[in-house]
Amino acid sequence: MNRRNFIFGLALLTAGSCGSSGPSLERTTLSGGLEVGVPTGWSLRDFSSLEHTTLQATPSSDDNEHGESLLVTRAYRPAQATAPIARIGRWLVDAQRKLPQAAFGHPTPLVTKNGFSGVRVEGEFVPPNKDTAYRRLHAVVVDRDSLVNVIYTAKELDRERFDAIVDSLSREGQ
Amino acid sequence: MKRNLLLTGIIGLLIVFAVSVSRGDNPPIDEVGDSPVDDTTEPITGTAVMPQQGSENPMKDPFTPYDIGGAAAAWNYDDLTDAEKAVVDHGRADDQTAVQAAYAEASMAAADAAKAQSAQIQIGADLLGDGVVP
Repeated sequence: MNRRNFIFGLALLTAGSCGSSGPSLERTTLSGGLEVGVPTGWSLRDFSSLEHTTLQATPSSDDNEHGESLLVTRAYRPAQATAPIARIGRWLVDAQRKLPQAAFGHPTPLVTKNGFSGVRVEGEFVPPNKDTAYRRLHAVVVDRDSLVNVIYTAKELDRERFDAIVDSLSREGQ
Repeated sequence: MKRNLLLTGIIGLLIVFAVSVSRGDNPPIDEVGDSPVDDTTEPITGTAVMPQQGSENPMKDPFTPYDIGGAAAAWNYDDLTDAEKAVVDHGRADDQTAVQAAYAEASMAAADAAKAQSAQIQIGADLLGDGVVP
């Protein structure tokens, strides 16, 4: 290996290690001792009620040319949390029919880095009072007796960011 | 031993006597209704009204159509004018395909919405609406 090839390889290795670190996330706590990472710098709003823990995160309006937004909700669903993943996937796809002009693909099972199992679906819809289609990634992750919904919406999706958010789900102190 | 037998026999005779006396105290039940004392009609003021034989007015069966008064009194389809026939034929002559299709589409949309709502509740996403769309 000559010196030129060595430098090129080192550059590739450096680029690969930067990519594997993923998008920068800040950890925040949901109910039930569950934590999730939201993109750094995004503003957080809490819409939690007695039944649901709901967090909304959006970039500042000046820095949101892709119309990104994130919703993370945790709902107590003991009966549904024990259902097979295939059935949760069917519910997930059926739930998208509520969206106007929706077109979604088949559900895909997933297992997060911390071992939570779930299912995700991707598609697009045209929001009310909008004339452009928005894309959406929606994952449902099983956490003991609860279901966690991670909904990422944007005109152009950053799939790596969504994967990082779903993978960031963990128990406090994990 | 003999004394005991004699005592038992006496007690048995006493029981038989008591039963026969108690049955003979009251007359049989069917004899009560036949007594002339109980055969009384309730008193009324005025005179009882009875319908004339054959002039009774029986209650009409509500599910039986009224008598139109014979075949000559009936209107036949051929007796109608063209305009009247059009009214009678309404719903038969018109093509209802579009109307039925509209109803089918509307009911299918309602069923889809209900199914989606149910699925949202199952996964706990029912309160999120359309989500955030900046």
